[in-house]
Parts: sequence; C-alpha cells; structure tokens
Amino acid sequence: MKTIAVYSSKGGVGKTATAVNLSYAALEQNKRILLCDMDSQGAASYYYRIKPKKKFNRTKLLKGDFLQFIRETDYPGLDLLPAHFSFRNLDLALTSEIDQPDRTALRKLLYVLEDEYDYVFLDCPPNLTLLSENIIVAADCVVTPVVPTTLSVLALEQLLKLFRKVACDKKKLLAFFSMVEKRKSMHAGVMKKYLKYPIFLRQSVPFMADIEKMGLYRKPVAAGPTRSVAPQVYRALWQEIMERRLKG
Amino acid sequence: MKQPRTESFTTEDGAQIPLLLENLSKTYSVLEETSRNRKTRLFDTFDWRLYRKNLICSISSSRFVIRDFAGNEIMQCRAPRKSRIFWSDIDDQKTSELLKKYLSMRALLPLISIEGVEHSFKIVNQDRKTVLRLQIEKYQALEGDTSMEMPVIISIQELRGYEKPFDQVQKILVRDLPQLGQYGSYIEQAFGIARREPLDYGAKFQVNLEKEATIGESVSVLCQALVESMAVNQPGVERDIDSEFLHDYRIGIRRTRSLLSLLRKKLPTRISYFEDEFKWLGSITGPLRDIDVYLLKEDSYKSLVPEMFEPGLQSFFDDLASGRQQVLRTLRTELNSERYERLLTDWQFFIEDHDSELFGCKAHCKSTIDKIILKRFNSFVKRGSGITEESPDDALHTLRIRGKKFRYLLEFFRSYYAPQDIDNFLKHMKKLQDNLGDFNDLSVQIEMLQAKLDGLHGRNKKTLSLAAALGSLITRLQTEHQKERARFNRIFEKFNTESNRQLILEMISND
Ligand SMILES: Nc1ncnc2c1ncn2[C@@H]1O[C@H](COP(=O)(O)OP(=O)(O)OP(=O)(O)O)[C@@H](O)[C@H]1O
Ligand SMILES: [Mg+2]
Repeated sequence: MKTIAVYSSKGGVGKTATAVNLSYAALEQNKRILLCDMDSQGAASYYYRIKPKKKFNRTKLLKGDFLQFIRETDYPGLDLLPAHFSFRNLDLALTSEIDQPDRTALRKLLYVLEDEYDYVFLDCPPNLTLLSENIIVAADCVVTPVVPTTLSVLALEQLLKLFRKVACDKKKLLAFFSMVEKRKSMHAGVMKKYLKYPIFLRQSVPFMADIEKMGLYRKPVAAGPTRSVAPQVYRALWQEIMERRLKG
Repeated sequence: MKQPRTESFTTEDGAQIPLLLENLSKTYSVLEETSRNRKTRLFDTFDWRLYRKNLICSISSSRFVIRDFAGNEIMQCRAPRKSRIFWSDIDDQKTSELLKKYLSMRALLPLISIEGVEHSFKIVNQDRKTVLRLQIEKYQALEGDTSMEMPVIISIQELRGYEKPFDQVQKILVRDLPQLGQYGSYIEQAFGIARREPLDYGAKFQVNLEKEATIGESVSVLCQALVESMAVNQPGVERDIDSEFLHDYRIGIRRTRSLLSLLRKKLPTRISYFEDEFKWLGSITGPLRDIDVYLLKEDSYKSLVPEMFEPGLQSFFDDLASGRQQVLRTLRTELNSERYERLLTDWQFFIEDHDSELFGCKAHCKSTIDKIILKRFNSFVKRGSGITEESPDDALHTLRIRGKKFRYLLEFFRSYYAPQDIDNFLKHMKKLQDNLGDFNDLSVQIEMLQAKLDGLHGRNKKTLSLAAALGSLITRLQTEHQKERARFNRIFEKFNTESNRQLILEMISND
C-alpha cells in the first residue's frame, strides 16, 4: 500500500479536483483504491455523492474505529472514507489525545489498511497545522498543486520549510502546475522560471471547463458525460507520479 | 475488512420479475444500467475429467473460466480460439498446469451452450448514489436445434458501507423467492436437453449380471457393453480428437478377446472366427497407438537425456508426427472397410440375436466363473513363484499377460461377488501389475528404439545427432528396465500372501 497526500496550505488551488481524478486514474489500472476525505468541507465526498454515516465522527477516526465507515463509490474498486463535520479541528484533537503534539498518529491509523488497498489518497484541508505535519509524515508521496503565480510559489517554499521541520525526505514532495491558463503572461513566466526544478512534474493541469463542471455532474471527469482531454491529463499526471515516487 | 455480501435467488416463473421490480420501485429508485447478451459454452473431456473433480469449465466473452460446484472461480484466463482444447493450448501457466494435472492427454470438448441476457440494475438514493446492485439473468440452454428455458437468476450485491439497502431488499426477496442452489446444480439442469449427461462415459468397466444367468446370456451382456464402449469411441478415433479414444477403443477389443479366450472351451466353435477378426482389429489399430505412445512420452524422454541430445531426439518425434497422418488415414480406411462392417454385423447377430448359437451355452455362468477364477489364480501364483532372479524376461511378460487377463476376469464378473472385495484384491494386485507393465513397456521401447537406431543410414549431421540421442536414451531406459526387473521378486512376494489367497477363496465361496 502507498499513501499519496494531495496537499497545499493554500485554498482553491485544485487539491480536491486532483485527489478525485487521480484516485479514479489509479482505479483504471485495476488497483484497489481508498480516497480519504480529510477536509471537513467534504468536497471530495460530495463529488462521489457519499455522505458519512450518522455514527461517524472525529473521535472514532482517531481511535482507529473507521473501517466500518468506509463506503464504496459507484466505481467498483474505489472506496471512500467520507469527511465529517467534526474533522474541522482534527489538529486540536491530535494534540489533546496525548498532551503533546503527535506527528505519527495518522501514519499509525492508516496502517490497518495495509492489506486492503494498493493506493490510499488523502484529500487535505488548506492549512498549516499539526494535521499537515501528520499528513506529511504519513504519506509516501505529497503531491502539491501550484497555480503559476508568484504567491503560490511562496507557499511551496513554506511547505519545504515544513518538511525540514518534521525532518522528512524532501524527495517525496512533488509539485505540479495547476489551473494553468496559457494566455496569462504571468502563468507562462512563472512556469518558464520554475519548471526546470526537479521538484516540478513535467505534466501540468490546464484550467479546463470540464474540471470546473465536475461539481455539476458529481463524477470524476473520466466518468462524466463529456468527452474531453481532462481524463488524459490526470492519467498522465498519475503515470508520472508513479514513475517518480511509487515504483518498486 | 468484511467483504460485501452477494446473494442469489431463482424463479421458474419469469412473470414474477416485472412485478418484483415494480414492488421495489415503490420504495427505491431502480435504474436499469446495462443489459448484456451472454453466451457461455461448457466444456469437459469425453470422460468428464473435470466434472469428476467437481469442476465446471466454461468459455464466455473470450474468457476461459474454471469454477467449483459452489460457483467460486478457481482459474480464469484468455480463451484459446479452438473448439478442442488441450492443456497445452492455454497460455496462462497456472491454468495450464492445473489442466495438465486433471486432463492429461485428453481434450476439452464443447458440450452445451447457455445463452441469454443479463440485466444490471442499480438502486440509488436521493443523491443518485448507487447503494445496491441487482442483476436479473435469463438464460436458455442450447444444443443444436433444441433449447430449454433455465430458471431466472436474481442476484443482489452489497456495496461496502451500504448495509441497510441490502438487508431490506434481501428481506423482500427471501419472502418471495427460493434461494439459488449451488452453481453446479444450476448447470446440471442445462444438461436436461443435451445428448450427453454428466458421467455418462468412463473408462471403468461396470456391468451388472444376473446371478442365475447362463454363460450365453452373460457373455451376451458383457460383449454388448464392450461393443458399445468401442462404438462410442470410434468417432473420436476417426476424427482424431485425442489419443485416448483409440486407447479406450483398443481396451474394448482386448477385453473382448480376453473374454472369448477365458471361456473358449464353453463357447461354440464359431468364436474362432471372431477371435481371428478381433485379433485383426487389434493389429490394424496397433500402429497408430504405438506412435501415440511415443508421442505421449516426448517430455519424459527429453528429460531422460542430457540437454545437448534434445535436438537430436526432436527429429525422432518430428518423424513420428509426420508419419502419423498416413497411419491414421490407413486406419480410417480399415474402419470403413467391408471386412469391418461384416465383423460388426456378424458379431451383433452372434451376441444379440436369440437364434444365435451363443444362447445354446446354457451352463450356469457363475459356477463356471467360480472355478475359472480359482484355476486362473492358482496358475498365476504358481507361474509367478517359479520366476527367479535368473529367469528370462519372457517369463515376466507371460506373467503380465496372465495377470491382465485375470484382472479383466474379475472386472467382468464383479457383480457376482462383493464388489468391494474385488476392488480390494485388485488394489493389492495393482503394484505387481504396474511393475510388470512398466517392465514390459520398457522392453518394447528399448527394442523399438534399438531397431530405429540400427536402421539409421548415412553420416549426415542430423543422423549422427539422432543416433547419439537414441543411444543415450536407450542406455537410460535399460537402467530403468533393470531396476524394474530387480524389484519384481520382492513385489511378487508381497502379493503372494496367504491373506490374498483367502480373499479370493472367500470371495468365490461367499454367496
Ligand atoms: N484545472 C482546473 N480547471 C478548471 N477549474 C478547476 C481546475 N481545478 C480546480 N478547479 C475548480 O476550482 C475550484 C477549486 O478547486 P478545488 O476544490 O479542487 O481546490 P482545493 O484546493 O481543493 O480547494 P480547497 O482549498 O477549498 O479545498 C473548484 O470549483 C474546481 O472545480
Ligand atoms: Mg478541497
């Protein structure tokens, strides 16, 4: 089992769109997939039309009693652990559990899934907290979308600092340009400047109407009603991530 | 993690289905997702080798699948594009190894088809999220122009995390419909229309005789069963489906000849005509069987010689394979000859017609057989005990033939005695017969290979490498041959015990 966290401290950069479509691209290769919606907003759960069961909450999650709350999506082989409203202060809970910050709690929780799934994807909320540290420690690979603007690149530098703080191997961090609009000169400029760094994946995700419309159809783009190149883009992105970090 | 549940139900009454769906859609949104035509072809060997292991083999949508009777998939892989499938035709290594174990030299043949439609429905909630899957399968069993409706199958599949909808729909279905039994018994129903039915053929000889019957009556029954076993195998021989058809066909000949010779003194003199003709039948079927025997040994021979001789040996097998077609053609001609036709007609009259001289043999069969068994047993044991380490090979060969005849005798008249006693005795005898059989096979092989070697001419590369390979092979076989010879006396001693003698005595005195 490999864990892939889709993470950024910035909001609205395409994390959820990425987690939803990458998990589907991985499913297309006949793997057993779990998508964990770590964001109390529940956007990923919404895209897959899944609501949490009534009895689910943060405490159960942290106790490791969450297998019974995993639900199958409409796509056999792809399961989802829905978000719950109580996830909004998961990070506080992580601290109070044992009175001092525990960075390995999430890693330990995910261990029970080892034989059940080939890939576990984490869709993360946009913040820089103890939960973020847990996510970085738990993941075999942290994928971070970067909108090609100067501010977003700053957020990436912040993230690298966080990696140093938790003493994690920087190699497991992979960035890609998200919501790219070729016509915007700033986008082109930033990409030209940064794409040469190995932290950036070759594959970027353009700004596409089909991705924007996902909220309407509530399906990953590859299962949606329109024929577009978006699924190809996510397949290629997934391929590159696997080659860079997950092979062997 | 718990696996999601599935459950299947069945109904003979297709009219129930629309009603059922209507009922469900009062509470749930039921959407038809797909409807797919399905065509499944069932396969087994002529003698049901998979069925005997509680396995069912099918091809559907180009997938080759083996299931157990409960319906669990044991193996699945790409289907070969053939209607006659040997284990070696399967690409997937695991599947072909499994098949090799069960089928050996036999081919899988298509039996019947099951065709129909699979309708898939999904049951969705207010978010249009699928919370339960439902399938309705309507099939027909087909063979040639005949067809038969199969019971409709309704299955539900739970989605992980959506237990309630499964529980609720299951409750409704349980109330109205019987559960689907085993996959195996569902499939068996399909054979209702087929020419073949499971286990209708096996190489084991089993005939029930009347205890009061005369010799004429018993021989008639036995020979009819034997001629029948030859008749069912003959088309497979002529169409050259697999080598076992000829093998079983020849066993029919050998058993018939054996029966006639065992009872020669009690039967009309006319049987000498039939003995000659069945001998002829043995001789015309022999050459093809000989080639098959060597072809079947290809792997084992190759494993016996050092690797560098393998190419040399290959040319030996290539020659055999290319000569085989001609031999088969000759056999086909003989099997369609007047002489063969006449033999069958005469034989049929002789064993079936009440005006036949055969029915003039009015001696009580069982008491005659009791005596023959005892006599044959005693002479077998005496002959075997006389064999020392120094005796010539021929002494063992003769003993083997006597042993085989004795085994046939017990098998023919098994129903006169306690069958388990016979089986028990034959089990004790098997080790000895295997030893004698292997010894004889090796003698024949060595002789044939030596003759082949002696007959080689020329000094070209191919001939030389074949000669080297044959030489190496013969040496190996001679070692095996000596080993079997050396084992004989000990194996015979183990067979020649007082308890085995008692077994025979009790068997024939027990009425
Ligand atoms: N490549 C894209 N092209 C067009 N629209 C996109 C693309 N990626 C994301 N969007 C849209 O942008 C919005 C924000 O995307 P998304 O929810 O994936 O970001 P996020 O980083 O998960 O946001 P949050 O931080 O709020 O969780 C959504 O409406 C989404 O449909
Ligand atoms: Mg999000």
